[in-house]
Amino acid sequence: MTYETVRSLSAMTGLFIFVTLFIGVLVFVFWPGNQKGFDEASRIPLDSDDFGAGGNNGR
Amino acid sequence: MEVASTKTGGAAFLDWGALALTLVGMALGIFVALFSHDAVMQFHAVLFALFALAGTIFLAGKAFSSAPSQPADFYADNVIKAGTIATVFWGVAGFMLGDIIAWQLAFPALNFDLPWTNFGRLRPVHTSAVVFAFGGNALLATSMYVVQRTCKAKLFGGWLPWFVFWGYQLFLLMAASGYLMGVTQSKEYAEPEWYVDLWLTIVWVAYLLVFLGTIMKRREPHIYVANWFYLAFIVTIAMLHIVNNLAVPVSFLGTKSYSAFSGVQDAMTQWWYGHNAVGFFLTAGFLGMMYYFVPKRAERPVYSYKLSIVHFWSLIFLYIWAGPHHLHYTALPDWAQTLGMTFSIMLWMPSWGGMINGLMTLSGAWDKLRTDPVIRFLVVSVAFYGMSTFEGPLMAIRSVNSLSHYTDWTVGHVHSGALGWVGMVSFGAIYCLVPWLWKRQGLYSQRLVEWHFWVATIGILLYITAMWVSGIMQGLMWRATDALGVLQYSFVESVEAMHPYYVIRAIGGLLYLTGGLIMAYNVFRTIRGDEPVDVADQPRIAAAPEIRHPQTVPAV
Repeated sequence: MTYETVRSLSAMTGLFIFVTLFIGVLVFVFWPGNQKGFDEASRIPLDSDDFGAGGNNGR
Repeated sequence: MEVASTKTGGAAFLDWGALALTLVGMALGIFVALFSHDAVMQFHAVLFALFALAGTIFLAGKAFSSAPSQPADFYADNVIKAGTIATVFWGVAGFMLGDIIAWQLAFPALNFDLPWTNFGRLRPVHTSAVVFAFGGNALLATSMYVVQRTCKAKLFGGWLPWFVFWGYQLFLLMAASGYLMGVTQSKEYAEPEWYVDLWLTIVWVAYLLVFLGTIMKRREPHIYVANWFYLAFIVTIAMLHIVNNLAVPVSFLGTKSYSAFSGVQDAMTQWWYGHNAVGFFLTAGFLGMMYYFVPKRAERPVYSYKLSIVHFWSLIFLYIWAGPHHLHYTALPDWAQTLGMTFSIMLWMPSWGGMINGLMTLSGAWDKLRTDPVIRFLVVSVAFYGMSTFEGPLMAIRSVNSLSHYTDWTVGHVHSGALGWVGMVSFGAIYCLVPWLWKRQGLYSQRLVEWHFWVATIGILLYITAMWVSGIMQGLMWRATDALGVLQYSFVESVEAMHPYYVIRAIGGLLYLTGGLIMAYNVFRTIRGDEPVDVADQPRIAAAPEIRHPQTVPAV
């Protein structure tokens, strides 16, 4: 195996892995059932103070 | 969660174990101080022993006391208070050092012909002070704040966060004092020698444990996106730091070491590290800050949570390959240079996706930009993020790089990212955190925040425009040839031509430092508990959560 072969094989492997992973991320993001979870998650910073600050300190 | 009044067997065992470790650390420090022939190593050993002694006293107080081992508060915020103060302190120190060397470049006599004040020694002190001390403490403090709030869990590890905080300050002191005394391994942004690197590795692993431990015991099912960015920052910096600093010390009692790499492999490892220090320390970490503080301060959820997920995964997969663009036209193989260039250009997409996500979080609430200078800091920082991440890929294109490389354009680019993005998002976070942590009605003075904002913004504009002009002028002068193909200018002619821009840059830096001092004063007055002078002008969200007015408008 020459240097050039190794180089182009690793480039193609990398390309394949990244494109697959990126498509995976897009599928996960646009999967209809995940929308509700994303909506909940995006509210986390806005709700978070009320927990520690209220009467119930988690104990 | 441990019950407040009983100390479990496991926790007590850990306290005693840590106590023994601090004694070992103290013995190690004394041993090295006595037997090393290297004055810098001896100084650092004494410093190390003193920190170990402080740790011993602290842990002995805990181990022998019968007081509850857990403070009553739900969140562990004292270490975050310390981190916030350290951020302000190191910020002012780092900006001051930067401005001193900026004046030295304009007027070289200002180094007073002393070795310790020479540009070559002060420059790494400046870069480490702003990146690792100011930026690092800002990341430590905000990450520990954000992970607790978004996981609804107390910081993991009892005294471990304190070890991370003080261990990190010890790392900073050893690094900075070493540079002043001439100790460096000559790798940009990785100048500390082998033993300081080993110490940082220990501290960093502890930081990872604290962060991961808090996520593990979260009460919130989702791991909020800010934590993903912080976690990517912590894990990647560990990997980069360990690989780039692989070295063999000449002696275990001396500072000098030799890198495991040489030649072009060394250059590639260094810039794989160096560019990802930008990508994961100065970008991913601060994006974590953006994804918490922008929505929190605007009191609106992030524009698109989907976009934030795509932003995260594409950013971390692309950034790690961009390093070779620092090595265009070198011995690095062409294909590797092309790879670095291509991945840098692809980075436009996640960078601008992230910028749009941050900016559009304010859609429908743009009036807050006018009324709340803190949100203006946060939003302008995101605009600078977009601008400098547009400029960076442009400069990574090989033919543009042939003009820009080794010129002041690079310096200007770095500072539009550092002063504009990293600095301003940190100022915004500090202005949020101080009243929240110290349970105040608001900041001491919102008018001073306005002053800080405008003084700093004008300073940045002076800085980056001066460096654009100076850098492009340098690049053009260096490549200019006459009709016979002979170079038209000598190097020193380009140095002479840079002088006015160096003066403008130093004035810009002075303004930025002035803004930092205004912030330090404002933070000091707020912490001291002085009555805020303009609390009526400040938004509801400026007050600490415990004393905040209830929301009048229903949440979106």
